[in-house]
Amino acid sequence: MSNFESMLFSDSLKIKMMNLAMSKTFNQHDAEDLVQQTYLKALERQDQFKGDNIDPWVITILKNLFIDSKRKKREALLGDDTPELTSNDESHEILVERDKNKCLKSLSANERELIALKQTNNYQEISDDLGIKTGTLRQQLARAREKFIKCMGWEND
Amino acid sequence: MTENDKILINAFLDNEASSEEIKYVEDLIEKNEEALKYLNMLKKANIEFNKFFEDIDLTKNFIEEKSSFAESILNFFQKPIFAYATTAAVFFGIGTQFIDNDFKESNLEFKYLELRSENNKAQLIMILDEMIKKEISTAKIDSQSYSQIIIFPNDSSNCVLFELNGNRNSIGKYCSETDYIHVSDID
Repeated sequence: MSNFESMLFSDSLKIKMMNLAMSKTFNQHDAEDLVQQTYLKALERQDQFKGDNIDPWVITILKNLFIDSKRKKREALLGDDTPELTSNDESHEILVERDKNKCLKSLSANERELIALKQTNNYQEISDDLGIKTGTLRQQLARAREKFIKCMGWEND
Repeated sequence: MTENDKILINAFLDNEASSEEIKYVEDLIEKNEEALKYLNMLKKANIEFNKFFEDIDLTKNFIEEKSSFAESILNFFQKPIFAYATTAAVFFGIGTQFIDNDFKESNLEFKYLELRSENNKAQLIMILDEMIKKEISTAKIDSQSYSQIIIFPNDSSNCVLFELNGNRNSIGKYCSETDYIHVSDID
């Protein structure tokens, strides 16, 4: 196995990819398909990879593949069956559906990515993977969690 | 409690706060009930996030699959049946007829613009997409390269199996949602 493949098929990257894919698809089968495609695309384009840290490069491929599939289908694999929460219907939704998955779906794709990456990575690693400053990451992560908390209705408990 | 306090409490919970920030947050949650409540809600949220991601099955072995998968894709698109694409902008028609469990019977004709060789995959996907959209299971193609494509819908997923050129040794799988396409040539 080449050095490239060793990095690509590391367990840590696999877990990171599966978490990210799940945060986008909310479906084990679709997440596995997305990860499989990402591996294939990465292998096809391995000559384009330069550097020591393969994670940000692979994450970008995964995100682009997901965006492409959404664009092609013209309906999101995630969330289309669940209308986005708005400020007008939020209170109703919270009362009726204190559901974890729905509240996760109410987060933006970017916010779900942060939550997914936080499961296995520290702030610096996430910042490196996504190319954002840790200060920005702190703000966005805090905002994502607060949004989730509000959706779950815990503030009123 | 300010927005910055909330950010610091998040960092505190994630073990990402500096020693000064830790001291600040510890004082804050001791004196401010709202801050303590916020911290507890964050803990609760993290528990839910952990549960969600812990449920993911990580046993699938992508490494074993990748070799045969990559090779089959590569081999397929090097086959002579796709060499026609060197003559760009040639139209060819597809006559169709089929009987299938879910797909309706139809006689339709389509015209596709042949694309250049690097877009063979896109072209095949385009034809498959059109067949799925029109609910056509068998497409007879008026072309020197293609003779027909037969697709077999799968109720249990959004993917279809297909057979190229009436050759049972040339079969594939296509998932329109994800653009996944995989063709195997069994010699």
